[in-house]
Amino acid sequence: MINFDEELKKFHPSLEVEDAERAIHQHDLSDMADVIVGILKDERQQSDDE
Amino acid sequence: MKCYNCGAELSEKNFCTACGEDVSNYKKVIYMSHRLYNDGLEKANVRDLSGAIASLRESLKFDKTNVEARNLLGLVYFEMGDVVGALMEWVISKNFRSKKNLADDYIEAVQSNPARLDAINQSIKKYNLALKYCHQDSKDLAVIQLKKVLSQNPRLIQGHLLLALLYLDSEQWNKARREVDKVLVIDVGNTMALTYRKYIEDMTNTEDEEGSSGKRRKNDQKVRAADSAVTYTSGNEVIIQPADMREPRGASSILNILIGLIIGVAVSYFLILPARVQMARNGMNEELKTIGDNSDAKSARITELEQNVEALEQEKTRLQTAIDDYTGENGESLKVDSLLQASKNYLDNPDDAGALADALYNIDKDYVDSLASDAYRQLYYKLMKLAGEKVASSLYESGSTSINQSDYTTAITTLEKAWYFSSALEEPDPEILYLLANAYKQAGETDRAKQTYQNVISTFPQSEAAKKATERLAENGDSADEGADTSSERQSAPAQQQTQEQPADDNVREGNDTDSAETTDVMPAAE
Repeated sequence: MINFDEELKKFHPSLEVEDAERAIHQHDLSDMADVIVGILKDERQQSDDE
Repeated sequence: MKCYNCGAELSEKNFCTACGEDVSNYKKVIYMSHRLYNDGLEKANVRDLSGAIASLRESLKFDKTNVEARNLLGLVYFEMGDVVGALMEWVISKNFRSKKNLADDYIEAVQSNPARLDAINQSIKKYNLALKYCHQDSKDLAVIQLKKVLSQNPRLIQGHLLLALLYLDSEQWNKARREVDKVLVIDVGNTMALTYRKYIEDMTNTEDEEGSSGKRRKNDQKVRAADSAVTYTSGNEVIIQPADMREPRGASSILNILIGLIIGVAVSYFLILPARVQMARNGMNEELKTIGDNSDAKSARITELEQNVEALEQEKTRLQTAIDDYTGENGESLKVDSLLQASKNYLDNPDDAGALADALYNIDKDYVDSLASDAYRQLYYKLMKLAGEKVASSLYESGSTSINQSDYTTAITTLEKAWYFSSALEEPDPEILYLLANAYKQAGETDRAKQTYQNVISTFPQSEAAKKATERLAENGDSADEGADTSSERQSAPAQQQTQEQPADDNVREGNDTDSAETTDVMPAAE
C-alpha cells in the first residue's frame, strides 16, 4: 500500500533558472581524489616532521 | 592523467616520473571514476537514466575533473527534463576545461532558444507550485497544475511521477498507469515508476479477483473492448479509437471535404439565404416607401407650382392685354393722343375744320361713349360740335360727287366719314346715311346696303330718307341703273358741287333746316 505522504517526501522542488548560479556556487566539488591527495600530503608532512 | 603534485603527465608507473610522488592510489581513484563513467554510459545507452545518473555521480565523486562524466550527467539530466541541473553540470564542466569541451555546444544549444528556455523555466515553477499544492492537500489543483506543466515540458519525469502518485491516491489506476508508462518510456530503470507500476498491477489484479463472474465478464468485455480499441493521450486529452480504424487519407478525405462543402452550401441556401433575402426585401420596401412618400410630396409641390404658374400666366396675359389696350395700336393712349392732336389743331387754326376733323376721325366713337372719361367725352363732343357739321356737309358733297363719278369705293369711304361726324351731332343728317346705303348698293355690297337702309328707317322713321329707304328695300333685284340714284338733291343743303340729276324719288332730302350756302373748304373725297 502506497502512503501518499511518505511518497511525497521523496519529491523535492526543482531548481529554477534563477537559482542556477547560487546552486553552482554552493555545489560541493570535493571528490575522492582530493581526499587521497590530502591524506598523502598529511603523511608526507608527518614523515618530514619526523 | 596528470600528477596531482606537479601536474606532469603520468606514465604506466605507480609514481610520477617528474616529482617521484606515489600516485598508485591516485591512479586507482581515477580508474574507478573512469569505470563508473563507462557504466553510466552503458546505462544511458539503454535508457536506464536513473542508473546512469547513479553511476555518473559516483564517477564524479571519485574524480570531479572527469569532464566526460559531467557532460554525460548533464545530458541525462536534460533528457529527464531537469534543464537547470543539466546547465549546472555543463557550466562546472566548462570551468574545469574551458576549451575543446562539448559542454560549450550543449550550453549554446540551450541558450540559443530563449523562448524555449523561458517556457521550461515556467514549467518548473508550476511544478514547484503543484508540489506545494500537494503539501497543502489541494490535490485537485495539483493535478490541474501538473497537466499544464507536462503539456509544456513532456519529459519532466518528476512531474509524471507526481501526477501518477496523485492518481494512485485517488485510485485512478488507468491514468496512473499512463503516467508511469510515459516515465518508463523515457527512463526504463526508474525505480519509482517501476514501484508504482507494480502497485497498480497489484491493485488492479486484486479488484479483478474480488469481482463476480458478471464483473469478470464485464471486465472481459472491457478487456476485449480494450483489445479492440487503442487508447492514447494527446496533450490533456485521452483518445480511444477502434484498433482497426484507419485514418482517412487522400481521395476519401477530399470526398469528405466536398460533402461537407455541399452540406454547408445547402444549409446556407435553405436556412440563411431566405432570411437574408427577406431582410433585403424589407429594406427595399422601406426605401420604396420612403421614395414614394417623397415622390408624392414632390408631385403635390409640382402641382401647386404649376397652378401658381398658370395663375401667373393668366395674370401676365391680363396685364399684357391691359398694357396693349393702353399702348397698342388702338390703345387708350393713342386715343388720348388723337383727342389732344385734334384740340391742338383747332387751337392752332380754328378755321381749319379739316385738320380738326382728321384728328377726330381717328377716335373710336364707341370708346368715347362707353369707356372714356367724362372729361374726354365732353371735349370730344365739344370739338365735334365745332367742326362736325361743316365737315359732314363737305364730305357729303364729296361723296355725292364720287358716286356720280362711279367711284363707289371713294364714295363709301367719304360718306362713312361724313356719317361719323354727322352722327355725333345733336341732329344727324339721315340723307348721309341714305346716300351711304346707295353707295353700298352701287358697289355691290347688298347686305351692307340693306342693313344701312334699315338703319335709316329705324333711326329716322319720319324722314324722307326713311321713305326712300323703304322703297329701296321693297324693290327686288335692283339693277345697276340704280347707280343713277346716287346723285343727291338737298333743298336746304349748303353750297354744293354740281351733281348729276337723279330720279325724283331718290336722294331727295327734305326737312333740312339749313339754307345758307356755306363755302367751306371741301374735304378731299378720297383719303
